[in-house]
Amino acid sequence: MNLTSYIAVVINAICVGGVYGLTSSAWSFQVGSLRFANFAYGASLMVSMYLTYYGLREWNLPWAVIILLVLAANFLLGLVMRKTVLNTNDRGTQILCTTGFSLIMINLVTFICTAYPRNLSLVEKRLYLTPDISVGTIQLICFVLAAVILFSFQMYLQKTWTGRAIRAVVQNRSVATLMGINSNVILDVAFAISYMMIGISGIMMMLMFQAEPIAGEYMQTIAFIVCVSAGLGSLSGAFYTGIIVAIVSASINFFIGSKFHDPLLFAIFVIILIVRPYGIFNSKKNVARTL
Amino acid sequence: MDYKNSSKWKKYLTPRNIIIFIVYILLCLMPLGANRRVLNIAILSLMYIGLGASWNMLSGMAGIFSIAHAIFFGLGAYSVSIITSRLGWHAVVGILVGLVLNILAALLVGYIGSKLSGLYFTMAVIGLSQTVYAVALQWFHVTGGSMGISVPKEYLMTKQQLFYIALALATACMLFCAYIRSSRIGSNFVALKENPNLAMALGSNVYGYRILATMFSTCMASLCGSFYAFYMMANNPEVFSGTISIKIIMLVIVGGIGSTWAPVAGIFMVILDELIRGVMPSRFAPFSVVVYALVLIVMALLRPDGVIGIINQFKGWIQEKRSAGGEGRAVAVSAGKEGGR
Amino acid sequence: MLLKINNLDVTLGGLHILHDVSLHVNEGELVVVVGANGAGKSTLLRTVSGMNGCMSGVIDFMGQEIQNRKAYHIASKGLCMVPEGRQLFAELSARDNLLIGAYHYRGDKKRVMDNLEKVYDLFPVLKKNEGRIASTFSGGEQQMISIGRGMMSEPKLMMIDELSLGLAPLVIQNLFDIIKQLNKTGISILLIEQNARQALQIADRAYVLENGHIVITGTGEELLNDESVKEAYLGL
Repeated sequence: MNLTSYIAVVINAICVGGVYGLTSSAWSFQVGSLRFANFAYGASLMVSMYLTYYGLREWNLPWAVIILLVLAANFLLGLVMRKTVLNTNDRGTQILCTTGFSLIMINLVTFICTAYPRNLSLVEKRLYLTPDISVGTIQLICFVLAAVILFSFQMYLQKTWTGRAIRAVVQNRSVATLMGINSNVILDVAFAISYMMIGISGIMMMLMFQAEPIAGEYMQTIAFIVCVSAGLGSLSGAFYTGIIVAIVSASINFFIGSKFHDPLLFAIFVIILIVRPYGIFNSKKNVARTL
Repeated sequence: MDYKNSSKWKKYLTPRNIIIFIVYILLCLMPLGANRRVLNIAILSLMYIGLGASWNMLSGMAGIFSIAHAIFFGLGAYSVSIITSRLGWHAVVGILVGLVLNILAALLVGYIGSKLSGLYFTMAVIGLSQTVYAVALQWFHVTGGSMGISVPKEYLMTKQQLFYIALALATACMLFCAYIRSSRIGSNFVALKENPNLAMALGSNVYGYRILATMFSTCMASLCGSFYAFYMMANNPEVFSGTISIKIIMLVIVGGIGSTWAPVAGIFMVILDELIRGVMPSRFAPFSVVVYALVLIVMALLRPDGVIGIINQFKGWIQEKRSAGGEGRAVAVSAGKEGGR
Repeated sequence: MLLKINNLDVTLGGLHILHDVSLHVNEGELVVVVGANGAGKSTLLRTVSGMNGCMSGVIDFMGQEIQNRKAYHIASKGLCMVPEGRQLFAELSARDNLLIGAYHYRGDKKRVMDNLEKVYDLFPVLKKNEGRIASTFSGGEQQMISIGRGMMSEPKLMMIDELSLGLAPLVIQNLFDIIKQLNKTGISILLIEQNARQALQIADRAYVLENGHIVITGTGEELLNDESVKEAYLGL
């Protein structure tokens, strides 16, 4: 337990946190902006992880094909979900149906792939910043990629016509229709695009962790923590908060031990929710009561 | 209820009640003839009726959507296991500790529910359920980790004994819910769901009734959990799983959320699930979850008023046909209302 | 005739709001509909724009029947609506708000930019603050953004719902002048107003809507001088 090893842990956590941030931003966008309470999020992430694993290890596909496969599959999944389980505006029904859908996905994967954890077992080159502190190249790449993707998504929303339409529909659905925007189709597209972001996150997760059917549930709760702390709907906020949460998580493991990690992290989450549900950094309106 | 102007006991002599009475008698006689597997399924189904009643009071009557009801169930189960096994105390103490823990949980959940609404409340409850699951998994010393703990052998009961306890439990829960529904407390619960602001303006202690509804619900779930501990003679962290929570929600929604008889109407799904799982090889077990999750989704989207809603619609349709051509009577309306209680 | 409404009957939420309403707007005209609160004026515009459906009746716009069609069709047909209460995209910048109006021809970049310049010429204050978030503008400026957004969709007929709601008298006068100006450039206008006097002063023709019925119609002049209108709506 010395400073250099802690710094190494923190640097590692920052990289992982970038991916947490990307994952959580997509959820924040879906729930905060599009107003779709998607509780099948973790399961979808898990499915992408499995797709990556099978693509790489079982079917021996080249990377380009795997990425395309995951993106296409997620885009379709997003559309399908919009048409079926998320085809309602009632928040409670959305939560219930997506939770049911999540169970379906988890159990189908358990049936097809069994619950045995899958690991890519990648041999990772390490980048040495100092003789004692190193960071994995894969993690570094993932971090940079996560930041780039999130930034691109922000630019997409700000600068393109579809992005502008998405933002308009999110803010005032009926008036957007008056402007010639087919709100339902736009929401479908926005949701499917955010689902592609889930796909990328899944690939990154598979590169860094191992896959099992319930792997998604943990990530979903992390997404909860990040999004609530950052404020639902805030994209870049979710990125930075993801890093912070990863650092906090790694610190708990480092100083207290991994046995208490989960209970402690989740307990902190519940406390944050009670004390500052609209976001730790958001002193704006009281969103929790109306959402 | 029907407004037949006869003496009080005749009021209860409706065809529906007679059928229920007959079924009940048959149920009481069941352990004498049935084989082990049927008894097992019956015991579990009765327990789920109790759990369904517990969830229905919280989510159906009071409108507090409990997505992780297994928390309360699991707390009741683990209390019994830990108290009898680790501390060696009497089973009743275990049951009482379970109730106490669940009352505390109710206070916490009720407090959270009064500060957060909808989405945030659900996230908090999920966070809570993950916390409890993680504690059960990690605190090996007390909870036995992923392997769980067993109940000491002296508490082993025969299937017949377990059956009658389960029957009593299910009956008690259903009667309690029916009683509360028709009482002033029940009206306050429903007001909490329908229009809390109006209720508050009318002087109802909304916060207090929220806590009360949660407490009633968690205590019922606790008793079912404690029963489960004696039934299985062992516990593992899976009692906190989302699979159980969804099963409870599914059976009530299929039955018809909000209506008092929903748990009974929806129990055929649980029976079906147990039957199918009994004949399939264990590798196919996840499929039963897929099936009832699908049923849940379909029912929630298309027919949230469930089986009872379908029956009511059918009844109303028949009554309409009967009184078609004559003066419109209030029969159709009361038939619909009666079925909904 | 640009817009012809025949025998329109609209029911909303169980209430029969519009009864057998007929009116028309000719090309180049500025038509005003006045009436008290709850008379059904907003419902009328919402039905024409496709935001609600009607029970019976025909709405004909440039030879096409548009009643009961989805609202996102109307923009490309040359019909635009400036909704009640401004209804801007609150978190978007003023510029983005204006650009959204051009959504239905977004592929033609030159056309979009030309139209944007025209709007900026009419409302220079918007050009100065084009990057600011819409909700930070004053009420009158927000109404300008709303009108500008409508202009961006290159309408033949612009329908305006309650132009003067919640605005100061000087601002209202300015806006009415702008509307008159717009009309002169060839855009036909259908204006719904509670503020009868100022609206009738710029109107070519006008209708009075009372409890969902059209009760009086005539030119702006005629209605300004009509005794019953004066009593009920002009406070005289």
